Parts: sequence; C-alpha cells; structure tokens
Amino acid sequence: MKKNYQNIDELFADWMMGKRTDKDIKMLLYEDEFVHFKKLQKSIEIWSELERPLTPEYQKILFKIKKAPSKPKNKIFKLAMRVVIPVAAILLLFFGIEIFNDFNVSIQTAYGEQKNIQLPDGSEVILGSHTSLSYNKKTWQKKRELNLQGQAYFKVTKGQKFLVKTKLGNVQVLGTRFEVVSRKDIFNVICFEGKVAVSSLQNEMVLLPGKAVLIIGNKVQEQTVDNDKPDWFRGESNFENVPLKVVLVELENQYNIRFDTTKIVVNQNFTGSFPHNNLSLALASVFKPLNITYQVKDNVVKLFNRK
Amino acid sequence: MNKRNLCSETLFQKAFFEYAKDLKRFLFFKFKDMETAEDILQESFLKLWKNCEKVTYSKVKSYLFTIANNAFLDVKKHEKVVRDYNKSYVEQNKTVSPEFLIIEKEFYTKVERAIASLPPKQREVFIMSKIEKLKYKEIAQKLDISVKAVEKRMHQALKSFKERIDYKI
Repeated sequence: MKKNYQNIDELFADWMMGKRTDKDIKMLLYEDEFVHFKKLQKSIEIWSELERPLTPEYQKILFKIKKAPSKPKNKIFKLAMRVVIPVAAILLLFFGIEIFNDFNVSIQTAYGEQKNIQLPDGSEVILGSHTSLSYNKKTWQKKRELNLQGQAYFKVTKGQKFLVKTKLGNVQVLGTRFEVVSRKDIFNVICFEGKVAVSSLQNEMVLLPGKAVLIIGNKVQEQTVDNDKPDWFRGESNFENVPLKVVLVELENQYNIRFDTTKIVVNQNFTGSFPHNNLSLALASVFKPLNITYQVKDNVVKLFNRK
Repeated sequence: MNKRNLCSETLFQKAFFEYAKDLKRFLFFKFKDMETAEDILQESFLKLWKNCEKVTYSKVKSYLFTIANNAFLDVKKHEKVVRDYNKSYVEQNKTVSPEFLIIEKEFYTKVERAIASLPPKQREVFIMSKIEKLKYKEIAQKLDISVKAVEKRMHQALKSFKERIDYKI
C-alpha cells in the first residue's frame, strides 16, 4: 500500500461493497496489490457461480429428456418383438380377447380437465389436470390398491386399508378424505379427514386432519391447511409460502406449458393463487408479484428477473 | 441400490445432485470458461441418461468424469487444428489486463477455504448475498435485522475473508 491511509482489508471490503471505485483504490495500491484485489473479486464471482444450486440445470436436462423421442431399444429387444407380436396375434385369435383383459382399469385426464370417478367399493376420486390413475377391478375387493401419477382428491369409504401408490411414495388410509399430488419430484399429501399414513423415499409419517406434507427432492416441509376441500375444485390453485418450483409444476400440468428457468434463480417462495381457465391471467398473477417477466413462445414460457 | 441402473428418474436425479456441482467445478478449471463448463455438464448428463441401462449407481461418478474429460479433449483437439491453421493471427493478441486474469485452481481452493471458515453469521449473509443474490433489504427481512446490520455483517465478512487469504488466520 502506498500510503498507510487505512487498513488494506478494510479497503478491500469497502471496494467490494461499491463504496470505492477501481480508480480510487488504484491511487492507494501498488500494481500487484490491485491485481490481487481483482483476482479475489473474480474468484468470488466464480465461487458464487460454482456453488449455486443447479436445480435450473436439472430442469433443463429433464425437459430435454422428456422432449426427446423414447429411447431406442436395443437390437435383441427389437428382434424379440418381431417374434412376440405375431405369436401374440395368433394366440389372440385362438383364445379370444378374454385372456388379455386382465381387469386393469386405467383413467386419464387431459390438461385442464377434471374427472369424477367411483371405485368398485363406492369410494370417490376426483382427478385433477393431466393425471392418470389405474387399478385392478378384479382384485379390488381383496386389495384396495391403485397407482396414481398427477393430482387427485380421494373420499374413501370405510373398510380395509386403502393404498395409493405413486412414484415418489405411498399413502395409506382406512376411511377418510385426502389429496395426493405426485408430479416430477414433488410429492404433496393433504389430509382433510381421518388419518393418513405417508411413506415416501425419505421418511414415514402420519397426517391428521388439516395437516399436509410437501416433499421436494429430499426436503420435507409440513404444512397446515384450513380449507375443507382442495381449491382446484373451484377452478383455481392456491399456495401459501411454497417454493416457486411447486407453482411452476402446477402451471405446467394445468395448461400444458413448459418453463425455461435458466435465466432466473428459482429459490423464492410464492403466496397467492392462479385461475385454471385463463393462461395469461394465471401467468400474470404468479409472476407479477415476484418481479419476474416472461415470454411465451409456442408452449414454452421463458422467465427473466426484472432488472 | 448401487447395482441398479440409472434409468429411474429418482436415481438419475440423485446422481445429478450428488455429482453435478463437482463436475461443473472440474469442467470450469479445465476449460477456464463457465459457459462451456455448463454446456458440457448438460451434455454429460444427457449422455448418462441415454446410456442409463449400462451404468450402475456405483459407476456413475467415474462414468461422468470420463465423458466430461473426453469432451474436453475433443474440444482441445479441435482448437489446436484451428490454432495451427491461423497461427500468426493469435500470437499478436497477448495483452494481459486484470479483466482477463486466469484464476488458478490452487488460488481458488484457498478462496473456497477462506469462505468456508468465515464465522457463521458473516458466512450466512455472504451466501445470501452472493449465491442467493438477495438484496440487503431482503436479507434484513429474512434475518429480522436492520439493513444497516446486514451491511455491517457483509463488510465484516469481506474483511475477514481478505485477512484469511493473506495472513492465513
């Protein structure tokens, strides 16, 4: 340091916080000290870039994977299929369709659609947008078990155990009302009545009425709910202090859109709601309060931080 | 679990969050360029997904680093061809200015260690500002302290950081 004007570390901190310009410190420092300052500044920039969460990159990769056509199967499989399909066709001819009807029931909803269904035991299910559900009609009386991908509300009649299986975890109940959401890496279970046992990849727990659990990746967040039914029944989605990511996934599944989040940091929380029947209003009500701007092209929505 | 291949989304995700950061760091110091590091990072994981049937969880790490390293070698080979082609051209551009400083891995490791050893309260503010990119006002709200106090902590953090780097406290 040319002059003992002030402690050099103090000067560094002042400069990094923008209280002093490059020109200011150049007057006070020798050339090599100035270069050292610059090197430290650049290292901190690199550090903040290397240490930041890579969730946006992961989403980008997932998006690319999902967009790509299904993976090419290997040769042996192709060869096998060349044999299997004709054989199956001949068998079908001989034995009729009967044996292939294994009583599997599978129901899907399109983007923006809701469907009410009744299960063989009288339990009711309301499927949310872009959801699929399947169960076996034949074994249902013995085993109340179904597979779910997406979002659904259940009103279960009392009886034997009732099991909802999803990719991210299972939910088991006796007789009660509850909602399950299993999309991407988001697993959300809300209990409205009775007791619900949740077992996910991460943990196991029991939910009481008015309680919910939101699991994203390996983060587990417990929540309380004060409504008696899911709000998507009323054609809107409500959120209270949930990670923005959850809201984005919900929007994607409601409107058949995809988000490009490479330009923003998705670590903020969102409180608010969006309607299910108006995309531009939905986007505005989520992103305006968060100070995020967006561009819609085809069905991809690109997000930017407002400068 | 370690013997299962990577074709399930859950395992693939687990592999990503376990190794992506290290891989990005590795790539950055190879290429000395963040954008290229990010591109190759993405390519490596896409390749992993494409070949997921052949890769078990215990092999993921070495698989990823091998792909990444090969990508680096490919790029360098290509660059060398280009460089040989217009050799005289590049030689002239040899001015060194502080803006084009190259941060060596050894130097960066010291920086990492200095940040890691900051006192918790200073480190917290430092991370919120530099990684979560929060404004001082937002940090103040989150921590329930005044903006002035945030500024003070940030200033202390930078000062202790500089001390740690130079005097190895």
